[in-house]
Amino acid sequence: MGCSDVKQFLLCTGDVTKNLKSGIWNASRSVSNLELIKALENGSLQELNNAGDMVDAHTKIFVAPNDPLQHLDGKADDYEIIVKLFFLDGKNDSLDGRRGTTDQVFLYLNQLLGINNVSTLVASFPHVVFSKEGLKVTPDSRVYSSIDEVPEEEIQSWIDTWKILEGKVRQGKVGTLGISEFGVPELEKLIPNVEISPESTQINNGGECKLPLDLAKYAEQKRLKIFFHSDPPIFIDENEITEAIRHACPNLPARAHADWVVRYTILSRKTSVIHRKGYFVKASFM
Amino acid sequence: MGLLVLGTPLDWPESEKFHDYVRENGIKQFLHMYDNFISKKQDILLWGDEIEYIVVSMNDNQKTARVSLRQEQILKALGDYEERFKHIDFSPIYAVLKNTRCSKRADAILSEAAANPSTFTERLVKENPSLASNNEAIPFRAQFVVPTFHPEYGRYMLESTPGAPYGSVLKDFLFVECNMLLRRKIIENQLLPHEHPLTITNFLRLGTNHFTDPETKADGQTSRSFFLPDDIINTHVRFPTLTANIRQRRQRKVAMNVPIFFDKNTPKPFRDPTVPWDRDLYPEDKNAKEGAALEDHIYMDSMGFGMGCCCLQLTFQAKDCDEARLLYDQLTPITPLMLGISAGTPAFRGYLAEQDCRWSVIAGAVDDRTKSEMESVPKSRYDSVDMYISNDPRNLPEYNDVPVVSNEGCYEQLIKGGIDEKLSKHMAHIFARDPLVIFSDNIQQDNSTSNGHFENLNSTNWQSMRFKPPPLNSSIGWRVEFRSMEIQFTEFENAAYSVFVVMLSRAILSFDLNFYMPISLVDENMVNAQARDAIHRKKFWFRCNPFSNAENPLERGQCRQLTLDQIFNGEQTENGFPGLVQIVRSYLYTCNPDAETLCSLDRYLRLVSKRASGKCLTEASWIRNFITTHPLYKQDSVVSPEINYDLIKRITSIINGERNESLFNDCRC
Repeated sequence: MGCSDVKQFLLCTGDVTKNLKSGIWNASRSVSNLELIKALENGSLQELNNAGDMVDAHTKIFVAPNDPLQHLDGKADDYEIIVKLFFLDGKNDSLDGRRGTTDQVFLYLNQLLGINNVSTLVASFPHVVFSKEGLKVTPDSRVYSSIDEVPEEEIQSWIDTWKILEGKVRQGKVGTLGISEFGVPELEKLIPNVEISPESTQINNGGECKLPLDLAKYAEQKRLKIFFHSDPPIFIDENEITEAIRHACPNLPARAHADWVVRYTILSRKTSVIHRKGYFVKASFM
Repeated sequence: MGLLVLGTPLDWPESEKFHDYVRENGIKQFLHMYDNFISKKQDILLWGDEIEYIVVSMNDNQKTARVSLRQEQILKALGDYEERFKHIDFSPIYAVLKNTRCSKRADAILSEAAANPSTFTERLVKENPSLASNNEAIPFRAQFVVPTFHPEYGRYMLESTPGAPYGSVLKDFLFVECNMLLRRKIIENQLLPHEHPLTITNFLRLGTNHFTDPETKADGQTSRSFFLPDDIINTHVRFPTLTANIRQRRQRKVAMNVPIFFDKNTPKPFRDPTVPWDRDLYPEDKNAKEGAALEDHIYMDSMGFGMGCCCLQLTFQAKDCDEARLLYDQLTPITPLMLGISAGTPAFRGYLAEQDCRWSVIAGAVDDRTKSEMESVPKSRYDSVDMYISNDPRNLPEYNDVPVVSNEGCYEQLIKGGIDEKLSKHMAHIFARDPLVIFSDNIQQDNSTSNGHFENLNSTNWQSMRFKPPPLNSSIGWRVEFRSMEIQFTEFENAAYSVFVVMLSRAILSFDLNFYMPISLVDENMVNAQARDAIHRKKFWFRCNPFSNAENPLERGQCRQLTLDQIFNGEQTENGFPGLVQIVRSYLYTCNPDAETLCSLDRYLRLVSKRASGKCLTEASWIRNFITTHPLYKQDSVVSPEINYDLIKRITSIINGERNESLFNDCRC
């Protein structure tokens, strides 16, 4: 397998609900990415040969075997499709980069899953966490311990990226937008500067079933819904992604870095049965 | 509850002539339903619960508790209530309850709503016009319509259902507890001040002296019981007929013998002094001393001891016939597990028993097998499922490993009618029983428009799961009924157990879970689930690998024995079973509900988890504890009237909100 001239990888886990070595049982732990990691480890991912429009010569796509392209049976309206897009490109957060990422995500959703529009798109920006207590700051994880630490350019990039996502809403590709890990200070920077307000914010409350009071009040005023999630601040780190690619491509020369991750969940509105759930991970070499 | 047809029932000898007729036409009706509805796809989850209550009559001066026999008047009042409010949109009530944290305020809302939902909703909508319904017609869902109330076997019993199904999204599950609370309030309003509706499995002193209000005597001709007066049987002709026909068919009284719990001062051997051994009113009176009443056991001799128990039942709609059959199969191994953690029946007829559940008693209470059939027919018509019915390739032949009695004629009729082998065998098994009640004016039916003969048999096979074809003239689809759970004191618990089972069914479909295991092992689990303190003292067979395995789709499932704690909460090892609670929790989180919905539903999962681990006592354990630590208890297994009174008083407080650490921990807010 000629991995040496490849600059980028796309790993697709396939449906984690039916491949139960995927670790879906970790979906509700208070902080865990095991659902993704185990799916990559146990997925026996294989290179996709007829990638068609999706790629250029510099990208390899790996998919799970036995996970055929399935169009949704029944009307698209019968399903709720939730996509969370983790922008991990801390070093590459240019506007063009974000636009390219967003377009690519929708291309892959369409080509690999037959999805043309999404009920809710949740954006996760790097370095932002809601729960500021007990933060561990490592050289890798630049996590801001307060809104005052966030540089103006980064706040501006939230707004600019949001505008790109608004475009998708206007194109009819997205129903509503949500944001991840934004508390009151962050929301106050975002909401006044965008046209389409987020419908929700999701926070990792460490497994506690209590709504933080300030946020709850603010959310009520602004008609925001609050959700809980269990994703870690850095969804997949260098070691993890490098390991994952090496499973598929054993002779990987250099270390890899994850650019973005998409988690998609397709749920039947009428029966509340989960139709599919899985991940795309885009990685590039250092 | 079964069909309540009006008319004159045939007596047993007369009705025997029509057994084959009912069978043959029942099958024709099934074939007709099947052909019409096989392609029926109802792509929406709808479900509902049934809750049963015992109306207790309290005398605080004398410190006695009895069962109130005023069922007819109470049901009439409830029927009037339903009629009066059948056009009211109840949804503003639920909207207001949703935003209420404080339980006192919620209680006040429910009281007002129950008293007069019409004026109450009017007022709510006036204060907050956004609560008004935009709908032309009121949607047929639980949160919009008046609940409904039904009679049950015991004349001291009531049954309530939501009035319309609960819906398909997680948010709909939030209505369940409120709906159940409203139903209790409505019932309470129709009772006298000294009467209370209790959701307890059985009245512990049923069949002892002076247990009814008004006073009655146990000398009735229908049941011929030593202990239960005929007056405790619902007066609708179906019920006494069932009672008498079962007795006549088997040519002796029913006999349930539950091992007594031996305490320090319990006489050993135990020969029950309350059994009137020498009564000579009826020929069947000698059954007891001729061996029907076993030593060291609590002897019960009437249908009322079984069908006079309350339980919690769920029915849900599958998207089509295949899915209904699959759910029937996949939930069958779950039935003993839910029975085990919902255990609530540690005493019968005034004595503490060496078991914690009602199941075997009801099995005996309607057991119509003759002496010779005891050899050839393995089970009572009330008992656990005998075979799996899905055509799913994972349903391996070796799992159906218990003998299944079926009616050959019916089987042939079904096969000729184009029904597949497994479903034919199932229906032929159901139809192997005799129809117990035939109404003379209901014998002639048009098989293309009526399903009375089919229902006659399907509804008098009381199994742990029931497969229900679509009813005629309705948009309702193929359904399954989950029937093993014991009723709990509070709506919080009943909602928790119900929602847990429904979410588990979603998880089974979402994750392609495979719980198949040999029926013989499910049967063993059913026995163990009823044991005293099964949580700590018993292990249960469970499939080693319930997860679909892409490499080996037809993997032959091995089974092993786990505790209920391990089954629900998982084995705490690297590749161990994650536990049913974790599986449901993963399902719940994946559905991405908003924080409030998640937290509300999570309370239910925490309760189920703690009951399975023993951190919260099962109600059976709690009741047993209450009795054995009561100052008046004499360590002789006797539940005296005073103890019974205090127990009921305590249960009533708990229902009304009294905190109880041992039952709920911090789960019930």
